[in-house]
Amino acid sequence: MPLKSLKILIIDDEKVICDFLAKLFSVWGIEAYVCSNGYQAVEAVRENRFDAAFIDWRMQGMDGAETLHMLKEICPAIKGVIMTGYPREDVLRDLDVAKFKGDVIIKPFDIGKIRELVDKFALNK
Amino acid sequence: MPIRFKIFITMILWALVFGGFIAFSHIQNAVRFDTLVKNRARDQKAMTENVIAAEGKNFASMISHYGELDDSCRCFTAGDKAWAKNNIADDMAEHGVDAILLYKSDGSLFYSASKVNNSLFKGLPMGKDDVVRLFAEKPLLHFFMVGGSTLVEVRGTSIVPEADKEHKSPAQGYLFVLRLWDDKYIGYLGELTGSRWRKANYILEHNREYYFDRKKGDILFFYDLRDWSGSVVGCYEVSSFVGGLWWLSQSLNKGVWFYFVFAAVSLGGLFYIFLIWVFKPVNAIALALKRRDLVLARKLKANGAEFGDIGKAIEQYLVHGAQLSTDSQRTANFQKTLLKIIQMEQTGSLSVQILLEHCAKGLDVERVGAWLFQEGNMVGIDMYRSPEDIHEKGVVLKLLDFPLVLKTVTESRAMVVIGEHNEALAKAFNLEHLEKFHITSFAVVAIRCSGKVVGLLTASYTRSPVPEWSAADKDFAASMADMLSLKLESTERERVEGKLKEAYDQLKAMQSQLVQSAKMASLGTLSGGIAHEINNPLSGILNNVQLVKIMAKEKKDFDVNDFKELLASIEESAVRCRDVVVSLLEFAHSPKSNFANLALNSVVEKVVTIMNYELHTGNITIGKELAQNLPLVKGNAQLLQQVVFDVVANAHWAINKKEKKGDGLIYIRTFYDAASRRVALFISDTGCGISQANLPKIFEPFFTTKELGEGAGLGLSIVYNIVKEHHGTIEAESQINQGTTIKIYFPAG
Repeated sequence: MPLKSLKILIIDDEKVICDFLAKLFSVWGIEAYVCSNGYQAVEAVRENRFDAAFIDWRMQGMDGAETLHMLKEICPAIKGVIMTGYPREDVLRDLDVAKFKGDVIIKPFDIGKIRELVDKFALNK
Repeated sequence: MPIRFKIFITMILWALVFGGFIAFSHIQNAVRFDTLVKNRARDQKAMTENVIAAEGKNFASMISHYGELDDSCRCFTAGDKAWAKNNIADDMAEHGVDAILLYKSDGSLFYSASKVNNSLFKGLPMGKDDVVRLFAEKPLLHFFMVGGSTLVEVRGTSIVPEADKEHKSPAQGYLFVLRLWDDKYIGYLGELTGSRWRKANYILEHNREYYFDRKKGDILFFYDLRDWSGSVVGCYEVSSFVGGLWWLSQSLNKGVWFYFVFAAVSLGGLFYIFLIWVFKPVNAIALALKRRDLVLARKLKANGAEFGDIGKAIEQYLVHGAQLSTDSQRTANFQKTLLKIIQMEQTGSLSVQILLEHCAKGLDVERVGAWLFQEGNMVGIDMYRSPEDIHEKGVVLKLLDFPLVLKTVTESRAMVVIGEHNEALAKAFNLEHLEKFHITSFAVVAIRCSGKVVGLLTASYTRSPVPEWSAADKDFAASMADMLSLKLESTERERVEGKLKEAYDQLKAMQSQLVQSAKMASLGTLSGGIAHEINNPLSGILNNVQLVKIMAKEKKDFDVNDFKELLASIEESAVRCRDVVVSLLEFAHSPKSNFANLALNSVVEKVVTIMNYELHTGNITIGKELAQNLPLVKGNAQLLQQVVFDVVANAHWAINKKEKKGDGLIYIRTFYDAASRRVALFISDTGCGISQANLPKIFEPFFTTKELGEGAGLGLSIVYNIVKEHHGTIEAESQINQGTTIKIYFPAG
């Protein structure tokens, strides 16, 4: 499947991050939506179908893990990517690794890694 | 009572007893003598009377055997002079009567006859009343009268009828017969009676029958002499010398004198003995005492057996006194030495060696030693030999060898081992050791530190004879021991103080390291948050730049305007990065104590900048109520930031610790308290709170309820110290599960 068929949800309370990802995905021709917190994301997923969600780990209100859990309940097929500025170990220690089936990317991002993930999602679709 | 009074009283008593005895014996003798005299006088008088009576028998019979009373009564009554002349005057020669006087019952003379010169009967006739008065007393009269130079013996009778033998009836008349006693007759009588007759003009006022003239040895008795009026005008004294009585009287008188002389002599003798035996020696004693003459006292002791003890006592007193005066001299020297030692101790120039030298000099002993107890031994820390002026050290004696010494020294202040007959002690002190050093006598004093015996100070004589240890000597030795213990204590204290200071410096250095580490540690716990804080804007820079590159590659025709948005985002992110780094640097930097006037609000803002995200993402809201126009506070920005940071970090921890997790709130409030002119900073949280028991302890260093690895318990103590450094106050109010408010006040700059 071409990348253009993908629909991705971006959830982060940092505007800079949201803006960057949205721009990046638009450059790659991927349809992307932006939410500033978990609750908006839940609403968005209820209304639309998304292939993947890039979720910030530490957010006010619902944090990344919680949000992903909620999203998966609504749309089990959705792929989750946790974004964090913290060291990867901190995140993995905090997440319930058994339950969590997703990826973790570290800020500042390795754009190549994001590309790999997006390509993987498009391929598996 | 002074001895002289006692002696005086004794002598007076003696004199009284003696005098009493004499008086008693004298009275006894006198009584006996008087009896003798009385008897003798009575005998003499009786004999004289008898002689007079015998010689005057004829004359007396004229009256006593007057036989013609009835006729006389008629004659007297009738005044028949012729009858009188014939019957009475005729008898005159027969009876040796020199004159007769006849009176009527009314006392008037009606007849008189005289054989001799009438001048002898001068004063005749007797007055009427006188005659009646005389006979009123008794009917028969016998008395003497002055008849010129000679004596007239007068006998008279009242004339009553013959039947009236008792002369009871009224007198019909009165008859006097008179006889002249011429010198010849008187001499004759004297020869017969062995007495002398003498007319005396004095009137006897006493009624004594007789009188004994002790001087002459005469017994005297008297006959009244009357004039013709019948009144007594003198007496006729009859004295007869009684040789035996005279001699007895003389001897009695002499006896009294003898007693008195004997008393005087014996008293004098006693006084002399007193003088010789008591006064002189006592005077000598007094003199010896006054002059402090030891030689005299010793002589006294040697000579007088009775005063030997006194002499001994005086000698002892004087020797003791001399000792005392030497002692007082010594004591003065001791005080000087002690003062010197104290001064040296204060200036720090005192050493054990110097102290021992002064001790030896002061006590004038040959050896002084300072011993300390170390692990069951007595170690000579310094031993000074004064004649050689040598210091030694390192002699070690086993403490166990001297149990008695230790016991005694612990019990008493100072003791003399040899010299006070402490043979047991001397033995205990190891005689061999003493002999080896030729020690003849020595004193031991305990060296006490904090009341515990830590060693001994010994002072020894090697000379002979051994001077006595006076109380002052012992006191001095004890004082020296005290000074020694002071010196040892101060040396020990200096050593300990040095160590303590070293430890303190280490601790201080460690503390500042610890504070820095604690700061770093708190930073460490936030490193994730800080990473996040940096990584977000870093993404904004790095990833946006990468994006620009990607877009530029795909678009080919590069127009900067297309990336305007991206560039703004990059710039914003970079600025954020810089702010975070600056804040971090400011925080982590070691504080330098440069105080300046600064705004507390900006301090709060800076800390919030660092922590905001961390708290924010932990669902903790930071509320701020920062008063406008807050007065500046004099302080160190970094230190104050640390205060806010640590308090907020604690609040954060407390919120997370709360059992019922929910959204936390940290509320920071600043305001100016005009009343106390203070700037207040209140930081409240809705965390787990602090128990009342723990509340007073929270500012103590290393106090924490955090688990191992969570915190060192230094945060609030550092905060406390910083606030104090800023002359501020800090207090905490808290309720379990409600939250805590830390109230900090700084004086307004």
